[in-house]
Amino acid sequence: MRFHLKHILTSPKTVFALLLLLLSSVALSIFIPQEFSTPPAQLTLWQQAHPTWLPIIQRFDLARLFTAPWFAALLFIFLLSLTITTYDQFRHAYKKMFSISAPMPPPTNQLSPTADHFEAQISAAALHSTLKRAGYWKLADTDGGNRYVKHPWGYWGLTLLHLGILITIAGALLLVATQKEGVLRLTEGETHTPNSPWLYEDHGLLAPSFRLPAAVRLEQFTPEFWNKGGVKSITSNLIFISPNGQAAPLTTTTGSILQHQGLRIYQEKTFGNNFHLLLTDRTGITGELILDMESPTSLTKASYGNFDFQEIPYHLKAKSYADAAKTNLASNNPLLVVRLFANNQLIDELSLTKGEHGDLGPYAVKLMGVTQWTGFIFWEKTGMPGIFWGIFIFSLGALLYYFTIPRELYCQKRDGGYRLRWKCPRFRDHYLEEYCSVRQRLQGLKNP
Amino acid sequence: MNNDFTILTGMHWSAVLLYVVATVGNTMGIIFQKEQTERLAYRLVITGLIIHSSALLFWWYVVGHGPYLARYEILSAMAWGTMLTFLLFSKPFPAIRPASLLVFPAVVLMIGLGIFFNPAVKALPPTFRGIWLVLHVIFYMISLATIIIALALSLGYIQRKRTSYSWLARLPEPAAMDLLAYRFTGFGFVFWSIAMLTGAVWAYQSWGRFWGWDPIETWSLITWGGFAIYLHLRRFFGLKEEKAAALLIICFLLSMASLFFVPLFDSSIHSEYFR
Repeated sequence: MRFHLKHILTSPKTVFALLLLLLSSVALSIFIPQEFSTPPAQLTLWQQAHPTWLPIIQRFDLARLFTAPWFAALLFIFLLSLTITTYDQFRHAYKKMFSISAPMPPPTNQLSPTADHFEAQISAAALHSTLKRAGYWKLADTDGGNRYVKHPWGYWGLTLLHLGILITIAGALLLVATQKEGVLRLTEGETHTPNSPWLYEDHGLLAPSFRLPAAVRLEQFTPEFWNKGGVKSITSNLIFISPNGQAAPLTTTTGSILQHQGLRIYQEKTFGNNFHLLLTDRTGITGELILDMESPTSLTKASYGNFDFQEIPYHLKAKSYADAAKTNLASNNPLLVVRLFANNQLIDELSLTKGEHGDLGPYAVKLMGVTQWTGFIFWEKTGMPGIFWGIFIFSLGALLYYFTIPRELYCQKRDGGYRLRWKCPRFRDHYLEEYCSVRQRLQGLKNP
Repeated sequence: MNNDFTILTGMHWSAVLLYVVATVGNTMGIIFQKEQTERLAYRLVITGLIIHSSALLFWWYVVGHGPYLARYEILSAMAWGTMLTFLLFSKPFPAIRPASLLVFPAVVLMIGLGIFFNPAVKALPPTFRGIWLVLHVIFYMISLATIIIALALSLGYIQRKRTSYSWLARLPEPAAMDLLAYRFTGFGFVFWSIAMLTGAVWAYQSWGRFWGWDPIETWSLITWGGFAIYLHLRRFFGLKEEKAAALLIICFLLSMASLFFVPLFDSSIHSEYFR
C-alpha cells in the first residue's frame, strides 16, 4: 500500500498533472483580480461586470486563490511528491558517486569510432594519467578494474534541483504562515504608538496581529530628485521610542533595508502633501478639511485627487504642483488648485499657495498650511533565507544538470591492458567526439 | 544632449548595417555552401558587435544607468546579449551555427524596433538600482538568447522534416537539431531560473518582499513552468521531434509575452520597465 502510494505520488504523470494544475491556477490569477492586490472599489466593479462568474469565484475562493484551501492542498501534494522524489534522487546520486564498483564491461569487438566498448593495451599508471588529463576522476578502484567519471558532480544536479524547489516552497509556506506586515503613512512630526491603527495590516495564519514593540515618530524626510524630474531617493529620520522612554534615532532610505529590534523597515518611494484648508461658510461656521495628495515628481506635471467630505455638500477636485514658481521640486511651496462641483457641474475654482485665501463658491477658503507625509512598510518575517537558499540550490542543480553531464568509463583489467566501456547518460551525441579522442589516446593513436 | 542622440543613433545604424550585410552573407554562405562568405559574415558580426557594445556603453555613460528601462535601450541590449551569447555558445557547440539563420535577423529586428521607438533619457526610479537588478537583467538576456537558439533549431528541424529544399540538407541531421534544441531549452530554463532568483533578491531589497504576484512576475513564473513542462515531457514522456518543436514554439511565445508584451498592457511594480 505504502509502495503503491509512493509510486502514484512520484509517477511522471502525477508530477506532470500537478505542474499543470499549479500553473493553471497561477494563470487564473491573471484573469481574476485578487483581493490582496486589487483596490476594493476596483474589485467590486470587476465583480459587478462579471456576475456569471461570481458563484464559481466565491465557491472556490478564486479571488483569494493563493490562500484557498484547495490551492494549499495542491501545494501539499506537490510538496509530498517532491520530498519523495528528492530522497530517491539523493539515493541515486549517492549510489552513482560512492557505491558503484567497477563492473565488468560486456565483451565486444566493436571498433567503430563511436562504439561504447573498446580495448587498450595500456598500464594502470598510463590509464590513470591519460584519463586524469582528460578530466576524468577515479571513483572506484577494485582488483578487477576501475571506474572513472568526468564531471561526477553532474550526478547531483537533479537532487539539488528538486531539493531547491522543496526548500523554496517550504520557506514560502513558513513565511506566509508566520509573517506580519504593517504599512504606515506618517506625517512629519507624527508619532505612531503600538496601539494606533495601521494603514494596512496583514498577518499569517499562525501569527497574531501585528503590533510594533515601540512607538515610532517621523522627524523629517528628504526627497532627492533627478535633474530632469523623477524621484531619485527618499531619506527619512525616524525615532523609535521604547515603553521606558528610550529613544533610538534611525535613518531609512529607499532601496535599503533597515533592521531594528527584529523588524525590517522599508522606505516607500511615495510621498505627498496634506493641504490643510480652513473653510468658512456665509453663516460664519468654519471647518478644516485636509486634502491628502501624492506629490508630483516633475515641475510641469500635477498630481490629482477627488474628495467628498461630510462637512460640505459638494464634490472637490484638486490638483497640485510641486512648486508654485515651477523652479524647484524641493521648494516646499506647492500650488494647490481646487475645483468645487455640485451634481457634476463646476461651480468655482481657486488657486492657493501656503497662507493664501480666496472664495470658492459659497465658502471663504484659506490654505492654512501644508504638511508632508511619506510611507513605510514594517515586517516581521521568518523563512526568507530559506526561499533564497532554495532558489539558489535549484539554480545550482539546474546548472549542474544541463552543463555538467557525467561521462563514465568502466575499465576492466585483462591481459596487460584494459577492456573499457564508455557511458554518457544524457546528450550522448554531444560528447561522442570527446569519447573518440579519449579512446584514441588510450589506444595510443594520435588525435585526429 | 541632441549631439549624444546623434552619436548614439549613428553607432546603432553602423552596427545594424554590419549585421544586415552579415545576415545576407551568412544566409548565402549556408545555402550555397560558401564557407569563406560565412567566415566573412562572422567577422562582420564581430565588428558590428564591438560597435554595438560601444553604443550601449556610451548610452550608459550619458543616461547614468544600464540599458534596462526604456524600450529603445532594452531592445538594443537584448539584441546585443543574443548576439554575444550565440557567438560564445557557437564555440563549444559548433553544430548550432546554422541557427544564425534566425539569430542574426532576430538581432537586426530587435535593434530596428528599438531605433523605431526613439531614444529618450528616462530617470531611474528609486527602486531600480543595485547589482541584483543588473544581474536580473543580464540573466534574462542570456536566457532569451538561448531560447532563440533553441527555437531556431526546432524550426530547422520542422523545415528539414516537412520540406525538401536541397540546401536544408546542409543543416545538421534532424535528430541532432532536436537534441540541441532540447539542450538549449535546458540552458534557457537554467538562466530564466537564475534571472527569477536575482529578481527576487532585488525585489526583497527594493520592496521588502521576494515575490508579489505582480503581473510580470506571474507571467514569468508561467513561462518558467511552461519550460519545466517541456523539459519534464522530454525527460520522462519521450516527447521529441515535431511535437517537442511545437511545444517549444508555444514556450517561446510565452517568453515573448512575459518580456515584451505584459509590461505594455498591465500595471506593475515593473511599470517603469519597457514604457
